[in-house]
Amino acid sequence: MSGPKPKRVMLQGVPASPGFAIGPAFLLHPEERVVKKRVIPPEKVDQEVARLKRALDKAHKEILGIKTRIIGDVGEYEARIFDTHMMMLQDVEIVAEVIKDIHENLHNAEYAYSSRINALAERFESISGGFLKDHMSDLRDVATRVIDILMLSENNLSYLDVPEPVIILSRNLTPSVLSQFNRKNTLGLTTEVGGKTSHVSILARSLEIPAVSGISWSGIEIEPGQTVIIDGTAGNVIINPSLRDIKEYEFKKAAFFAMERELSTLRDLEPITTDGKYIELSANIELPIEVESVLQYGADSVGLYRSEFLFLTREDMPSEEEQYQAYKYIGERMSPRAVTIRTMDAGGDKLVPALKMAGELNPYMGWRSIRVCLDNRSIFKTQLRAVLRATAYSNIRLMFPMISNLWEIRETKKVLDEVRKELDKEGIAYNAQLEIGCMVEVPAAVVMADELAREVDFFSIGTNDLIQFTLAVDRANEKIAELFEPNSPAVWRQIKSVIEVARRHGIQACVCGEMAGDPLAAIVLIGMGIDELSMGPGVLLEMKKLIRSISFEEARLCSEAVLLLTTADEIGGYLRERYGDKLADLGITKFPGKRSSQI
Amino acid sequence: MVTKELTVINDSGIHARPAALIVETATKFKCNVIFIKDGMRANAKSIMNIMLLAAEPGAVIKVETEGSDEAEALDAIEQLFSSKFKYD
Repeated sequence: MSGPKPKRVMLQGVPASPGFAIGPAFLLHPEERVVKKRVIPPEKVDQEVARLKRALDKAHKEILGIKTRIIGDVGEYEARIFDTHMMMLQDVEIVAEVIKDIHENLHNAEYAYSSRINALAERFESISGGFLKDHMSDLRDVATRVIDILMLSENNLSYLDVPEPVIILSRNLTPSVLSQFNRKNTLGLTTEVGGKTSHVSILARSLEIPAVSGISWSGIEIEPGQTVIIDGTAGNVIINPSLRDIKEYEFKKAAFFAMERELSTLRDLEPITTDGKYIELSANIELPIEVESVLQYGADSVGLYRSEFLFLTREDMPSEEEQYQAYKYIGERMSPRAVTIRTMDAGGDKLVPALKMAGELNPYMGWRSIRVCLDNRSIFKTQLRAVLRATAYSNIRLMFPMISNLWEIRETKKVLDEVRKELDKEGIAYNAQLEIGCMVEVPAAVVMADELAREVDFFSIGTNDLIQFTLAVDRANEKIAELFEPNSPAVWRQIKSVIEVARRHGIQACVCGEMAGDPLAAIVLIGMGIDELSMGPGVLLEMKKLIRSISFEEARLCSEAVLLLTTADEIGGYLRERYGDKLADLGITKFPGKRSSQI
Repeated sequence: MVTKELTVINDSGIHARPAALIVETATKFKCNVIFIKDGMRANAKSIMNIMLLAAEPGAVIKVETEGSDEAEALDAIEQLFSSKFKYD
């Protein structure tokens, strides 16, 4: 390279898939594809139409191939979108219009096709807000493929044919384009749009490709082949790194691989303390597709499936059938392991567009969660029907969020009984022994735990809400972030009392809040007698390593000491003092921050 | 030609999956199947046409079938609507 030394630029994005990569940049869309308009000679019209049809055929074969691959790599459920893609590709009206344009106006196939798609896109845009927005990007994905095929057939140059390992820098990388790349030559990737839960991020995680999203290229000069570092764990991207950067990240990369290798040997071992107590380790998930990583990390079960994510990213309500398919998919993939489905926990920071939820002054204490469901019986019943139907096939448990009094749990069970009767009448199968549980995340529920325990088969302590309600600290308010203190004795004493109540009634006690995934807090929870810890799949193996290195007796003594302390600082200090070195020796570095946005 | 007015009674209107089901069903028949909503005519064998109707819950759609198997086609479409576009 000539000229001045290229400038080092560091960009902060969103971590989308963990891991590190160093390599040459590959710019997926260096510029907008320009489709040129040409006029074809009248005698070549038939040839042009034939060329279009060949391209459509080829695109169909490609999509079918991708569908098969996704079924194998990720699962049947996620592959269904490609059926819609194929239908869009073969749409009789689009094809007829394009052929008409070629015949009448003597336009070349790619121009005729892309102008038809652009016209459709404009009509989509003009249609009621967002109803069809998701499908627009599906149509674009299909159209780009067809146009690529048409243009490539001309200059015979595949831009996806990458001869060496690269880092893909893209604006909007779709799963179908990503799956065109050779896995071996894909070191890492960045996208401009999409977050942690976008389809491409999930695909990247399941393929173990480090990825960062939210990286915008506007105003940054980058040439193909320039060196790029991707830190998918922290969400950083360095363009034109210094030698020092490269050394540092080579080291991080090696350490990451070593850790992954070590952890993968843990996958098949049991989460059992040195004195033989089994602690069920389960995973929190938001999307059906995440069960793949749950299985990969060897979880005992799904301890919390946040079903509201089916409702958050769309304008309409998912139908009973759609929900049923999602629940059945998770249940069957995890079977015989258990899956705890939490009913729609909408509100707070999770607004469901179809419910037209208004911004509230005090949203966490507002119209949310079980309250919303009990106010919208038909929506609630649709979800319960879908869950019950799915229980016929697998080991599913049902959990209700934010129960704060006896009336709510009794009323909820009444609705569930009504749904059971409906299904009985219709002769639809479900598991009559379905276990139900409630989340204990409101201080009122802690106080009333003795009565609540008679109504349910298990408790799941949601620590994030329990902390915010106990301490009166809004967890979304940055100004009081420091006051959100999981180690508050007021929190620990409540947790202890809930576990005691559960034990007395012979029901299971689980923690599915952020504290379950914090190594220091987990030791105390184990010592208090918790049966199950449910956390993000990514920290499961480290947690298993920790559990296998301590004794229950040791954890019990620790929890007793914690209960004697009277301030959060004392408790935090005590735990760090007592276990800081041990965690360092185990190589456990993940201390989740104090704050969290979920649950 | 036979026609019938049908109401969208599922919770979420005609989005991608119901649209796909409609196309799948209409394509099984030889006759033309046309959906008419607010004066807009859509070929029910085209997923884009159906999606562009943007039929929300409660929308009334006039279905028009014409051809040798027009009666059977209309029946099949009506069944799809009354089953709320379910699979089973």
